[in-house]
Amino acid sequence: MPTATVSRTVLDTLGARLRERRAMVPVLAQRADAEGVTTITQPQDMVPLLFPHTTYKSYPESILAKGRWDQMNRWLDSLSAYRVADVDVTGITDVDDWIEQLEAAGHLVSSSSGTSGKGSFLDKSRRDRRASLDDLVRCLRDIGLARDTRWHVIPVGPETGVSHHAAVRDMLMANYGRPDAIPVPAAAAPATRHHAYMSRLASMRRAMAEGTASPDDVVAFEVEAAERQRRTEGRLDYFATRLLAHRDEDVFFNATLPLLYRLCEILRGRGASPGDFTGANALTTGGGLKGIPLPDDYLDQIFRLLNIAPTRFLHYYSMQELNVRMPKCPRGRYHVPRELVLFVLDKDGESLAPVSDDQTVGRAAFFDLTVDGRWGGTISGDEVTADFGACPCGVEGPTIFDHITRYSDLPDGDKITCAGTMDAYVRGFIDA
Amino acid sequence: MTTTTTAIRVPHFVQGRLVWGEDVEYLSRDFGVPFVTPRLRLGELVVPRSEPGPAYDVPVGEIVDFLVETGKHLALETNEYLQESLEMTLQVSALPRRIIENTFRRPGQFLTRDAIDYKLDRCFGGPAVLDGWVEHTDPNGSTSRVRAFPPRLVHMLAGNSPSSAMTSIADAALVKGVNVFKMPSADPFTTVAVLRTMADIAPDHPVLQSISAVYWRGGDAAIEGVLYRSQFFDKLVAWGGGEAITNAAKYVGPGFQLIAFDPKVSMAIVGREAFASDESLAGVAELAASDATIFNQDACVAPRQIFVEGDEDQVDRFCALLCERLGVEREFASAVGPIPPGDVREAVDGVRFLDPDYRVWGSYDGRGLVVRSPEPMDFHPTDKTVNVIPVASMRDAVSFATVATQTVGVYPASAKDALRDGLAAAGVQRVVKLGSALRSSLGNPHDAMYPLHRFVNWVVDDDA
Repeated sequence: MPTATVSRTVLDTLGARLRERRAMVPVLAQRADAEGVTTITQPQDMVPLLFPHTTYKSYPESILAKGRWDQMNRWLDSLSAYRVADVDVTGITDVDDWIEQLEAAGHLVSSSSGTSGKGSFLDKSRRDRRASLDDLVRCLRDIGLARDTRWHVIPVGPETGVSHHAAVRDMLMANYGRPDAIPVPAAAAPATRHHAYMSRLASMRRAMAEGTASPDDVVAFEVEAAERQRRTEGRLDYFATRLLAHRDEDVFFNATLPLLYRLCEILRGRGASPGDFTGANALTTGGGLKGIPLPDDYLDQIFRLLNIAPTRFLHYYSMQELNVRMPKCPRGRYHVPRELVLFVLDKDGESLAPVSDDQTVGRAAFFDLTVDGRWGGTISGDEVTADFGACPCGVEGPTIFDHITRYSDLPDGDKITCAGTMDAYVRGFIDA
Repeated sequence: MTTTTTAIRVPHFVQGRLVWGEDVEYLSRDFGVPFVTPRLRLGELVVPRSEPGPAYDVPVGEIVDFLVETGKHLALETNEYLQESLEMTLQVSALPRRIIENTFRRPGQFLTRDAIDYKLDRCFGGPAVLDGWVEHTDPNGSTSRVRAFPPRLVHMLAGNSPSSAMTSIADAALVKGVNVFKMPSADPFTTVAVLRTMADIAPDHPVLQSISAVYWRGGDAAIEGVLYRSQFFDKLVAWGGGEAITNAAKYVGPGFQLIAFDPKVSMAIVGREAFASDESLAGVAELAASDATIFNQDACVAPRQIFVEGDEDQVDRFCALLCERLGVEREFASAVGPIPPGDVREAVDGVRFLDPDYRVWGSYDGRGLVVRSPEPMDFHPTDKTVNVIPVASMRDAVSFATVATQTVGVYPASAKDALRDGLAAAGVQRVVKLGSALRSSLGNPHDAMYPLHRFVNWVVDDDA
């Protein structure tokens, strides 16, 4: 079966990148040695060198839980292009301290974690941050939202204290915010120590599994989660009040879709209905639905209530391993930009998926040529359908169809086994 | 529905009758091999509560006779149904032919009269309470009669091995109930093969008229939503875990109970006696490896973590020997098994730069992998991957046992006495000698219960 081809020029670029980076990223050197890969002459050569997204959470959870920051440095170092091992760890008490200390040393660590899982940590350089922000500006410009300081920029989500979130918000405010914009609410409490909270959530789950968490611990955690939830609701209320007072002015929302949907619910609860907002409103969003169930027509509901035209919605596909985004075209496909090399692999991520009529289905993997702080090759957790031929919209390059599914969300079907894992024994956990 | 030419034909067994058909196509669990089954007629799986089950009044003695006779006919060399089932199982199983053949060789070998009588004695104090109403008089002089009344059971089988299919059939037969076996996609063949063997011996036996063995895709609400009702069945017997069981458990409610053989993990604890000599250390490594490799570690009894009482150098010597012994061919293990999944490789690669606190032996070639870490790693060791954790004292290992821990192998065996209460309090259900994870004495509890005792409906006729 044929597989996707990659141009000689791109293969040469990847080969050059491999030669350069294997001297910088220890895990890459180890993997390339183990696989015996020294040159890139065909796309398949790259496959064993693409890091599964889980690589960035491959540290033993106990060293994070126990605050072995020297060990966390060594682990992060093994995946980094610039040395981390010598970053001073004295006085670090939690993961937010650790990340701040790394940031001060030029490692803009990006972290994410699910509500029940281990957090991932990706070392990013200032150049990575710049590339990501520049890409966002370019994507916005491409859909017709050129820099123009005429908007109320509304960062809907809570202050996380995560510097990348702040950088995106600041960039949007600087490039799009009007001078008399609706102000961001003064933080009632300092930005929450997001990573520490997420990390405690993970260790709490672990403690529950191990049976070391007491009922009081569980209650205390639920109380804290409810308090965080209350603060978020308060922020949404704050914006709802001001949006209702500026309903004919242009608003640029920066939000995750579940939060924006919740904002709409609050607005509706205050009597707002479609047609009330008449500003030519816009939206950019990152992240998916995070497993939160929303009605099938949630996007339509959001658009109609907030008067967001699809042409003023920067809808893209990306992930924290990538600096650049794949914006959605009017024909509903995500376009892979030149900075990205798309590989579609089999479910196990071990070889290239067969292509027929230019199309293929499988696990999405990418090499991001703009990545600087790490190795740019990543295997995602997503099942995609890709088209290496032409998109009806006329823009060249590979495209990914709208329907993207996380492999972890696919049912594991009819599997029954006597060999279990502890996960089955931890009942429904607190939402972050 | 059209079927592909390669689809395996899977017959159903419905209340004593063999049913062939190519109405519905499914895919097997591990490799997605297509197989076809007859269409299910749900009405044929249920016996109305207004009618007694066919075997209600068959004396247990006769059932034992039948089972013992069945055991004699379950020999791979002579039983064509087992042979056929073996060939089909090979197409859908992750295990190699040699190991599967070993599991098929004598799946009925535990079906001796002595063994079954002993089991009934341990569980019911003998057959009387199964065969009729046994009278008791309480301290106040009131008399009552109790019967272990035949239940209506749905068994969701895990398909671990032919002998587990045989065990489920024997258990169902002994309690005389009405039984539906929901066969697993990992092995939708062997249960019917055993039942066909029984039908050749006694075609119209009431035990067989009480049993159906069918396949549907686990979680199919159109089937489970109809069948899983207290009006039709008393109990759902769930072997193992997974989405199919989680789904089925949603139907549990008043009158429809769950008897769960939960998915489990196992571990081992090795005391410092192992280091008495090079020979003893080699022997202990061999025992540990023989347990850890059961069905290439795809069994709940196979240990995944081994806690070793010793200093780092000692533990490292153990790890090196263990890794070597993981690569040995055994009755129920391959020298080169499946390669560990990506998450294991990721997690192990993640600690390669954390020497000396972490150390790795072996590679991802399916021969065996050992990771030494200061405390248990947060991945699920599988495919002959063992996580070794040094402990200062064997008692320290007890704190790592949890409600998910089933079997704990202990070396030396004499240390079991001192550890078993602590382990049991943590949730452990079985403490064995290291190297004996797969062996067991007869008539013992399983998963912290006497299963047959829970299968039956305890009914009282009271004169008080």
